Order: sequence, then structure tokens, then C-alpha cells
Amino acid sequence: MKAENTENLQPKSRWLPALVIATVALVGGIGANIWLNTGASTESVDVYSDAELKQIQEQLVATTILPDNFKSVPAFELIGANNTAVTDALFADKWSMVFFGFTHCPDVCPTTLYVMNSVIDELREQSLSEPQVVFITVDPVRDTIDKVTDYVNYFSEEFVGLSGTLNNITQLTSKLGVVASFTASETDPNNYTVDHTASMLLIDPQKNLRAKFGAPHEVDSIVKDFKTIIASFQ
Amino acid sequence: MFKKLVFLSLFLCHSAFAELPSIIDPVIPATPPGAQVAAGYLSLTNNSDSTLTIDGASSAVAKKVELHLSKVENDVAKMIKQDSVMVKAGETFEFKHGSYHLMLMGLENALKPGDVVDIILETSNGDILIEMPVKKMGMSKMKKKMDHKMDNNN
Repeated sequence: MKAENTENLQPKSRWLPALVIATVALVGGIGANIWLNTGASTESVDVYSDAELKQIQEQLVATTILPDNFKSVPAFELIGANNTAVTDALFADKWSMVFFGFTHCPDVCPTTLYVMNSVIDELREQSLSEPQVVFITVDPVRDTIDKVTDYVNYFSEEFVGLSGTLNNITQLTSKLGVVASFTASETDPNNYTVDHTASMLLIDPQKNLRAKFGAPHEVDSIVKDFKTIIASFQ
Repeated sequence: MFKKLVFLSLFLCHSAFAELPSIIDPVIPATPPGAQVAAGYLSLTNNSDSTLTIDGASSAVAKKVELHLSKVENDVAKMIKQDSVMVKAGETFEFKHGSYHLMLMGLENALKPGDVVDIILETSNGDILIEMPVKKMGMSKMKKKMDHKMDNNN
């Protein structure tokens, strides 16, 4: 009885995996085809192979390239200078360097904004195209848009500062994989600090998250890597 | 002013008994308008033959001054309050960018380049009054860059 069963099953079990593989390949193929076609019709961006991305990555000093179709800026509505509504259209058709921080941050955030300004100066000195710089608060409860605007303008009048509702900002950070975690002060219950992603994000003109500049941020390595990236992803 | 003299005298009394620590390059980067916080940086060399602990700090310009450590772990920037920091005999402890710093909280006013902020460091050898100049951020870095360019010319 036992042997009979085994014999009956054997031919089937030989064919089943092949059938599954064929089906997956077929469906996957159709899926990829649809995805590629959709990608090509809405965005004129090339799809980069793993080998191509690896080759670009090898030239970078302090930056991590992210895979194609990894994360994109979702539709959002935040608040910009003078209480104007700012949407994801902010990121269309230009390269952007984005940093999430908060104004009650005396060490990491000012240093990062200072470095970003030096990066822009250096790119300008070399007559290269500059990204827009965007600072988004992860602490909108304390950081009103006026506070954020004053804060970023101190580093450069050209920087874009954004605030918004905690809900809208949390949606954006979670879609982009940005961390913002609140820790209450042990000594002062009215005070808290925000642990946040240290990397600067590089968003491409198709609003995709293209790379992460890791901390500690250094002007020369960011300039070098930015040049490599925009040359590679033209 | 009276308060300042008291601390200064405390400081002088102690000097009779212990080798004073040296304070190197104290600086507070100027703060953006409206900022509630500032960071103070300096190096402290313990010239005595025993361990020195820094247990706290205070200043008239801020509601509170704490010892903080900035740290990046798994790409997350954190600030961790330190109860005290230890400086072994003969060693130098650095409060610097992206590491330990004096965290001035609840600023009354923005700190502008040219201001001098008095900070009192509470140590195991007594209080130390430090005059910390407020400078535009990145001045030291710019200087380094200029020195570097001059080196290239030589």
C-alpha cells in the first residue's frame, strides 16, 4: 500500500516543480513586461542592471546607491515658507538633497546644513549643476514653519524648509524609510529629543530615492559622489 | 557679576591644591534665529595626577546645560545625556562635533558671533569658569581650507 502510493506520486512530483517554475516564469515575465512598459511610458528613465549599479557604486566614496524602483517620493502635502502648501511637485524635474531633522538639535542638524551649504558653494565654484536642498522637520509640534524657515535660511536663503502636520510628515518619513523616534528627557518631562535618520537622501528628477549620503558628512566626498551620480544617471 | 566673582574665587582656591586643567579652543557656534538650543565645544586636559570627572555645567544664558553625546548608530542620529564624563590623569577630553558636547537648552536669546558665553563646568576638582566665544559656524574649517591652499602654493 505504501509502496503503491509512492509510485503513484513520483511521476507527478517530477512534473510539478517544472510546472510551477514555468508558470512563475510566464506570469513573472508578463508582470515584468507590464512594469517595464509602464515605467517607460510614464518616465523616460532607463532601468539599470545590477552590474551597472555595482559599477557606479564602486566609484563612490561615502554614498550608497539604491536599487531601481526602490522607493519614490509619495504624493504629500506639507507647509513651506509663508504658510504655502507644498506638494511632491517640489521634487519633479530636478535633483534634490533632502535632510530630515529638527531645530532643537544643536550638533548634528546645524552641522549637516552647514555641510550642505558648503557642497552647494563648491558645486557652484566648479560651475556644476546644483541640487535643491530641502530640510524637513521631524518635530512639527515644536517646529512651526516660521521656525523652520528662519532656521534653514540662516544657512542659506535658497534652502527649502518644510513643516506640516505630524500625520503628513510621518506618512512621508515612513514611505521613504526615514526614522524619527521620540525620546523623552529623563530630567524634564516637557522636553524630548528626536532620534532621526542621519543620512542625507538624494532624490532624482523622477522623484525616486537614488542614493543616501551617509554620516559623517564631508563636503569633498559628497561633491565627488554627487558628480559621479548625476553623470551616471543622466 | 557677584556670582561670577564667587565662582572665580572658588576656582582660584582650588588652584592652590590641584593642578588646574587646561581648556583648549572653547567655542559655541552661533545659533540660527529662534533656536532654543546650542552646542559648546572645547578640549580639557587633566593636568593633575588623579582622574577628573565633569559632573555638570550651567550658564546664565540657558535654562539648563547638559553633557550630551551625539552618536550615529545604524544610520540613526541620537543624542544621549551623560551624567558625567571622566578624564584620566594627564589625558585630554574633547567635546567636539558629532560626539560629546555641552548642550545649552532653553536659550534666552540667539547667540551671535562676537558674544562671549560664561559656562561653569562642575568638576570633581571644583567649579571652573570658562569663557566661550561664539563664532560663526565653520570658521575653523574655512581656516583649514585656506591653510591647505597655502600649503599647496608653497
